[in-house]
Amino acid sequence: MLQTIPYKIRIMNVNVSVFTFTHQKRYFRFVDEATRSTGRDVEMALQWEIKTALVLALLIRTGVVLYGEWQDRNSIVKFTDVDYNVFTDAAEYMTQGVSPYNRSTYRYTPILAWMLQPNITISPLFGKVLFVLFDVLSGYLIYVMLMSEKTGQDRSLQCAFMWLLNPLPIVVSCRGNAESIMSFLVLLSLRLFQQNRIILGAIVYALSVHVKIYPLTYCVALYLYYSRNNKEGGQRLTLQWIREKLRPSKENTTLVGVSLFTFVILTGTCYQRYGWNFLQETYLYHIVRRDIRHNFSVYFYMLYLTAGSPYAGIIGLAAFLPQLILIVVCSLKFHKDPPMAFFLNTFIFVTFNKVCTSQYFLWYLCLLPLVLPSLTMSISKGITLIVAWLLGQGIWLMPAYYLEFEGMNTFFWIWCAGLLFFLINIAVIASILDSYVYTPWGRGIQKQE
Amino acid sequence: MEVDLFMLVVLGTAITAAVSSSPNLYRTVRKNGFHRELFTKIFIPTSLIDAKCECLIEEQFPPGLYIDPYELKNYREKGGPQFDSPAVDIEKPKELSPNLVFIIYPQQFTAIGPEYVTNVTVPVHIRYHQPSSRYDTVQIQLKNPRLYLLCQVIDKSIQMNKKQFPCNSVDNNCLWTEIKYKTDVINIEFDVPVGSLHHQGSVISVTLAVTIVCCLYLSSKMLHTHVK
Repeated sequence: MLQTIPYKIRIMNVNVSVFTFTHQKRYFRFVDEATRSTGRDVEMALQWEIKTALVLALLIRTGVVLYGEWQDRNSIVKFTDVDYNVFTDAAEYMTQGVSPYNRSTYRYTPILAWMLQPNITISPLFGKVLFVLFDVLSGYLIYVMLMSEKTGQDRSLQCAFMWLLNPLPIVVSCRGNAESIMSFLVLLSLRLFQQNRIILGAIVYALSVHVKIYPLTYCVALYLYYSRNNKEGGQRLTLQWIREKLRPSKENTTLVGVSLFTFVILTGTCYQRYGWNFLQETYLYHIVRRDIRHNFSVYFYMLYLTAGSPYAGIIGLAAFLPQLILIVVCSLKFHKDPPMAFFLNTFIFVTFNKVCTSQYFLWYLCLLPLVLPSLTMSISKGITLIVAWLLGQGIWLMPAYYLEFEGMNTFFWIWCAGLLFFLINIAVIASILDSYVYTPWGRGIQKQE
Repeated sequence: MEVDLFMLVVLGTAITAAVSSSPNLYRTVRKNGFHRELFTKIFIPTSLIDAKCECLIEEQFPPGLYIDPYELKNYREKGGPQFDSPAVDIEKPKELSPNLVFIIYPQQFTAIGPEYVTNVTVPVHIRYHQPSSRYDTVQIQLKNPRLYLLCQVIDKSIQMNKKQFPCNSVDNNCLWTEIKYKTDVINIEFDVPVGSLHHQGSVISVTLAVTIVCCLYLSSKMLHTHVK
């Protein structure tokens, strides 16, 4: 039975009503190792609201997975993503004791193929169930982190709902993409850093970089976060200030040491077993990627037209520099608020990247709920930005469809749509920056609220 | 009277022409864009070959065209044809791809009138081609395939050389016989849209201008955000 109970939620003095489900289906116990710590400062008892939310999220995803199975069997257009077949084939090679890189287009860590072996031994649905679980756990981590920052039960739940009931991650996980593993690892590492558990946090962070490279862009922000207590000698951006910020504190040394060690162990073991193929497919391909086929990136048409030109290298560099500069500036500016630093870093990274597909959006969408309480934006403005962002993608998809499936020469229009989508993304980032209000983050900080 | 005789002769010629004495191949391409379907139909008069014949099509694909072996493997499980394929890199553009040879095994012949008929549909894909300063679209030519039979060929005049290929469902090799055939089509053409090098200058300058300006804009915005 659905009861609508209006919750008054104060987002920086704006009253808003929301609906929430009160029907309880069943109890579901989560044992959360990460929240067991000495001296809990927040009551983290699993309220029935979050339990219900998690169960609801799980049920929705189960339904979508089952629907996907039906569509796969009965329609020419498959619901399951091609990537899932790639994972399953690679896992099959693993079960036979052979390198998963025998499967062409398998571009992930061997750990993923190893984890998905039950796809062959138990059921092809195992992988999807695993991704769904990581997805739901990501939502739980969002809730836990917000509660820990004293965001309040209602707002934390609302933000968790933004992920748990969001159709984009639901569809992506249920189609068999492995993005939810990344969102889980990144959120888990943030949670551990929030609790000042540096060693565990560094291990999980190194694991996340091993699985996909993009969290490497967080390293500057993380380093500076742990030197935020260094005395700021002198004015901003003088050499002395930079030297003070870069001076390794005890936590920094631990962070860098443990991360490097973990990453080297993981990568070294995989290299030893699978050789050059592993390095090539997991890392080098993504770094050097020159995929000239059409995608959301603003640089697509430029790179396609200059692919054979002798200036391709310089142009590639010109496309890389804005990305690099912005990541450094963002890390310098927002390192005291790691969720915001991570979110902005990734948003900028994806927007300015040479290749951009819809899977990349999840990399920063999983961090958006953490950042929301710091934004003073009105709901209507937020919705306008979301609609514009979605519309930008829709406008791009039209000429792309005509190119790929009708063979019409729409390259120029795809380029224009790419520029438009880029500018919409810039506008969204600018609005977020405008409405941002800083509050200190993490344990051991005096909260001045 | 003369008109009737004339009509009789015309009709008679038409009927004999319809039942040709040679194998026939019919090809067409369905769908548009970068993902197409290649439909091949084979007609062989019953007088020329044995009843229990199996046939094989050897396709020579130019670099701009390819078949995705994993897609074909899934398709086979849903009733698609058996096939034999080399490893295919589906992401490379045409300029970095080789010619590829694919073997397709159509389904068993069915006797329709005086001919054995079979057909096969294969999904094919087109690679990205490099941009051109002169044309909006580029053409790919797909040559006619070679047709092989695994059986007793009664009419030796259509027989050509023999070659080893995998037998249909087994990994062993069998000795297949190539046969001649007649067809209306010399080769099939695919149109591929390509980027225009005329745009190159404006695309580079506008893209870089927009991205650099936005980079500076966001940098200054971030530097002016108040963070304690």
